[in-house]
Amino acid sequence: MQYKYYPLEAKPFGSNKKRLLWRPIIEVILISNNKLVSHPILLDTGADVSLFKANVADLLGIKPTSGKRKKVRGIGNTEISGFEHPFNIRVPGLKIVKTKAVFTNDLPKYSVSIAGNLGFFDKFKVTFDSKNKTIGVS
Amino acid sequence: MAARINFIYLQRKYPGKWVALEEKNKSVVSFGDNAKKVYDQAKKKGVKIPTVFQVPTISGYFIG
Repeated sequence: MQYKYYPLEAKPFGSNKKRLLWRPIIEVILISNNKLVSHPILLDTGADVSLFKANVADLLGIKPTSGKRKKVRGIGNTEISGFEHPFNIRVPGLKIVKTKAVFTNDLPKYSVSIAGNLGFFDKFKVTFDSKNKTIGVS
Repeated sequence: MAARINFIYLQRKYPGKWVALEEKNKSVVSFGDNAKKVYDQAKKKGVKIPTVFQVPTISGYFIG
């Protein structure tokens, strides 16, 4: 499956000027409790785990605070805590695979959910062509 | 590669809001502050598998 990077606007810190940024975001289908929701995720090869917004667990019929408690740290040493839950994921055109992610309320409003190594990159072959702004997932 | 909705348009019109898109990810069918309500509204409008997410606000550069 081929995707195009998404253009977004960003305002570099200390600047009033908006800049165009391209981020590798793809839509995947999340499945749990007979509920299906399509959800865009940022493909972040630097993330050890997948971090999803807690509200998304609600959409899947998962009580966000009922899973295994997990804490992770970001590059700025900021702690993010949430609860890990298993669910199924389908990249359009590919088969359904079992995965898991940490659902958290700590992701900022400027971020979408994040797909990391554990739970996404260990499940799919992903190729990035940043020059041409395309992503391949198989 | 199918064309998708423009994220910049969403950032300008719905920053920080939850939105639901129809299945081709080309238009907004519902939006608001409550993800579940937004999802339920989209389902009521007949969207089988809505794309639901919180529209990212405009940020600085960040490293995940």
